[in-house]
Amino acid sequence: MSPPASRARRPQKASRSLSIGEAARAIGVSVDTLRRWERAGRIKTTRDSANRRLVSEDEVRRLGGRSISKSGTALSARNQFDGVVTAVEVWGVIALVEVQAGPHRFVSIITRDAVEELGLATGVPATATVKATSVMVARRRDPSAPAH
Amino acid sequence: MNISARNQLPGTVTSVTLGAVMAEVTVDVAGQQLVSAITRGSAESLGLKEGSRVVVIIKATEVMLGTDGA
Repeated sequence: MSPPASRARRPQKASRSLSIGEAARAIGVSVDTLRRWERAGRIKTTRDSANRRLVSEDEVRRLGGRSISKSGTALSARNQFDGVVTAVEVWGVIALVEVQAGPHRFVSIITRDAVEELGLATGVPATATVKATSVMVARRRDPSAPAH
Repeated sequence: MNISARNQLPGTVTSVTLGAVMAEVTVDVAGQQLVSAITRGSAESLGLKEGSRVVVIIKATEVMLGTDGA
């Protein structure tokens, strides 16, 4: 089962486990598909004390962790990264939420109200969205190039 | 330079489209395309072109979160 919202300062280093339903949503496939993958040896699962299947966060990440079906909402923002919430810290009216989207970890600062309205907690699938005009670009210096 | 922004993703420029005032820069970050709209002047002064190694920077307050809301 999904643990309660994490208020830990840092997410656990150890890989967390998601229920099969959470894992299916994070990867963007049905629970039936995950069960089929399990039988075919494509995904590693463990069992909890009640014999329910658990999928590690690493395993979810390995399988893309990117939903195939979008909610269908049309949004002009060009940058969308599907992932899973790995940490939620609430500080007064503001919350810091970390989302692991494939190899990327996004840090988002949103209001506490938004966190509560969206039900954001560790293990919840979420999409990080950024307008193109909010994306800055810095040149990485080529180590072999002379400084100027 | 050290910068406070929490989100810094290294990547490689895959395209630069110059407009009259703005430039659309597409960056590959670990296999995913990220689009940035910066001024044409910035793109030119950074000398951005296909293959440029860059870091994409996003302030945490600019990252919106959404759920599927089933």
